[in-house]
Amino acid sequence: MAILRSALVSALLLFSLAIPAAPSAAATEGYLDQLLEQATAKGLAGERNWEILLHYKKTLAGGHESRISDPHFFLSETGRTDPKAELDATLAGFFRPEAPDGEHPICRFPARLQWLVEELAVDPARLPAARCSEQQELIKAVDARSAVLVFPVGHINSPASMFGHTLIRIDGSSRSNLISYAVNYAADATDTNGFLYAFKGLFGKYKGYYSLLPYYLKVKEYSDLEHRDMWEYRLKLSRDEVERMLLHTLELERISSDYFFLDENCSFNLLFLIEAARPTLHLTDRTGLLVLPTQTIEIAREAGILEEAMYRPSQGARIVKIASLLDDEQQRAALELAQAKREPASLRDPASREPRKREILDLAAEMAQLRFARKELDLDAYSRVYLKILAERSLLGKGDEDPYVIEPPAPPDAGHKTTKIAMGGGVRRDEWHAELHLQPEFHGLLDPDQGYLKGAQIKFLDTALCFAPASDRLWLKTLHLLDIVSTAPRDRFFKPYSWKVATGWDTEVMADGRDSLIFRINTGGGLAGKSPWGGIAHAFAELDLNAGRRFSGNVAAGPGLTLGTQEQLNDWWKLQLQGQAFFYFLGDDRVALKGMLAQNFRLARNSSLNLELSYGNVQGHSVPEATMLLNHYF
Amino acid sequence: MKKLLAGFALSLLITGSAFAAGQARSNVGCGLGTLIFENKADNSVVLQALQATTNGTSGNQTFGISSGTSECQQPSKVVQNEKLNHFVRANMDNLAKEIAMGKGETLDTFVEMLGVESSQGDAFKAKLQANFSSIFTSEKIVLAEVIDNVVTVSNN
Repeated sequence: MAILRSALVSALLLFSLAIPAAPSAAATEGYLDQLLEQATAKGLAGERNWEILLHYKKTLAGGHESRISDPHFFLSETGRTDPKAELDATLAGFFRPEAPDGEHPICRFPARLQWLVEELAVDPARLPAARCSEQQELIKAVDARSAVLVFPVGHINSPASMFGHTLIRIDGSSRSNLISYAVNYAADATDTNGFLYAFKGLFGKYKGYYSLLPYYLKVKEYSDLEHRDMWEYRLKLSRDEVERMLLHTLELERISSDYFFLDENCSFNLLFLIEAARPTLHLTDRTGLLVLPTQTIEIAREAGILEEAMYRPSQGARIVKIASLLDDEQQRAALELAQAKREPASLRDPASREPRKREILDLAAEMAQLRFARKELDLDAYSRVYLKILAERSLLGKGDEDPYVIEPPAPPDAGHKTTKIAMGGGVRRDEWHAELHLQPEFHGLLDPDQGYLKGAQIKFLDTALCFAPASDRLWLKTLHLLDIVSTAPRDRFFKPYSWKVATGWDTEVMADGRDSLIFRINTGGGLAGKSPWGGIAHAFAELDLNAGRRFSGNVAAGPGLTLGTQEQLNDWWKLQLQGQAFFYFLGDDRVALKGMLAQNFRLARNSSLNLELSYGNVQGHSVPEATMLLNHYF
Repeated sequence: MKKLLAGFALSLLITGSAFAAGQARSNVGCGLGTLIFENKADNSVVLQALQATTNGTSGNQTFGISSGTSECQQPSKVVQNEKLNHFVRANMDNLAKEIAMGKGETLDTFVEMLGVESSQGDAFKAKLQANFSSIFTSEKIVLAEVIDNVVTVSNN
């Protein structure tokens, strides 16, 4: 101790040479003791602010544990589980003698410092003068004034991000918010193997990190490369609160935490930053089993801190919009320009008298970018074609102020909540039954589209139980562990594939006409297109694997075909039409045909009514069925 | 138009020699087509389905501006401004498009970063549009040339 103290004294002596008014070591120590006592007396370690700044959660045993496991986040060795030890160590840390630039606890934990200085009325003059030059520069560059919660919607055909994502933008004084800074939390996942990626993600094997980067990089990533529309919700936070948020963000630089895809993910971890801005908000303790980006928007909305959503359409939406202003021939002209099959100057031909030259060139420029991003063009060819198109466009003046304004779709917070319970009944093969349906997560093809990606379905643990009073029979109609359908319409500009995968138990009609519970793995792929009524029509080739007691060798398999369409006819009426044929010739001899007409009537944001009529035919045994279900989303 | 750039916070000329030394000037990735390709998990349909259960994107530990533009040739007609360089490098394609169109958010941001007063913004953008081919002079153009050419155009 004596050695330590003399080291401290000599360090402080050196320090005092540089800064004339530096306090003496003894005085410092006395002052620190006094602050420690004061902190204990006030019970600061038990306060909510401290809990938030350290990301503590209550353990089952009644103690505390921080969700952050990185030892660099703590100054006390027991800090992860002992709030008081960490608070004392933090206070002591602030009075540590000089450290290299940026490494002093004063630099590393600016939000803790701010709070403790306020609570204990610490005299700033008695703190050591730590140098934090990089951080000072960053704080100046960010110039935090207000904050925005940003939600890039799910990726149309990349389920890794089908739920969407959330990040926070911190705006400064500039008019443009492209040069604002974005705070992002993401897993440091470099595996390219999908199985490994899913496994590690689900079980917290990846490390999550916060990052702070120019917003334009995120806009480019989501809007231009992935074609995801973005929603921006300004947060009702004061400038002081946003500054606090930034300070806490800086504390999390290079600090790792375990990333769990389903709950402790990007969205969940951003809630800490909002809580750090205003500690009276309770957000992280309001999350459920899964935390989806849309749920964090819901939580923030319920806390009353969200303003109206602003819509930032993606490049994909822009292309669709410009194309909608052009006829078939004009669209083809744009495509030919982007493919370098036609010279931009040819539009000048007075004989063509094309009235929509600007739109054609604008569309051509977007398409050239898209073709480059898809690697259909190499860099040289792209640069040449692109600049040629633009040079021609620059001759045509500005045109109308904004001819490409895109009408925003329903914002995500207008969509139904993600858990559904449904009750109702129906008639199956002339017998009445009651039905209970539970869809614990997300969105089915028949649920109302508002706020969701059209044509996409993700269901977890979708379960339906039926009871027929006449025969006193209870059966499991469905228990799907996972059920995903992605129908993405193709057109002249976009050529995505559609696909589906489902696994779980179903009650199916066997070759002899009797019902039996089977386990299935079903997958398929195909194409989808826009239907004449504005919906999405799709055709899938599928493979169905069944396991059950009724098959020889307990397993059956066969190919199948599905044709279907989903139509959101208006705000409250959605229709789904589907025909299926499956041919089980391995392990079974069964042809199963089924036609279905299903409708959904939206009654309110979180309630709707389903009416479903279907007719099945299995080896000549007909199975008519009608069901009505009242859905409640919560 | 010279007056236009009076408010140009960056318009101080610096000597090229101060910057010439020690620069790699490879200029790869300093021009058009500098897109960031995010390599997420593989794209096969079946594996995508598995990833559906995983809610995350790959990230990094960047704080502040990550990659600088030090490997690129630096503009010589304005004072060193890393924020502007980085913006132009990352957004050059959209900037070119919007200069050609005479409008857009990227262009507005660029004009604001140059310190052009908002009352002069429309005239400035029109001037850039009219001089598109003097700014984007070749398909091998790099960020330093774009910025320098804009300065030249606006001083004409």
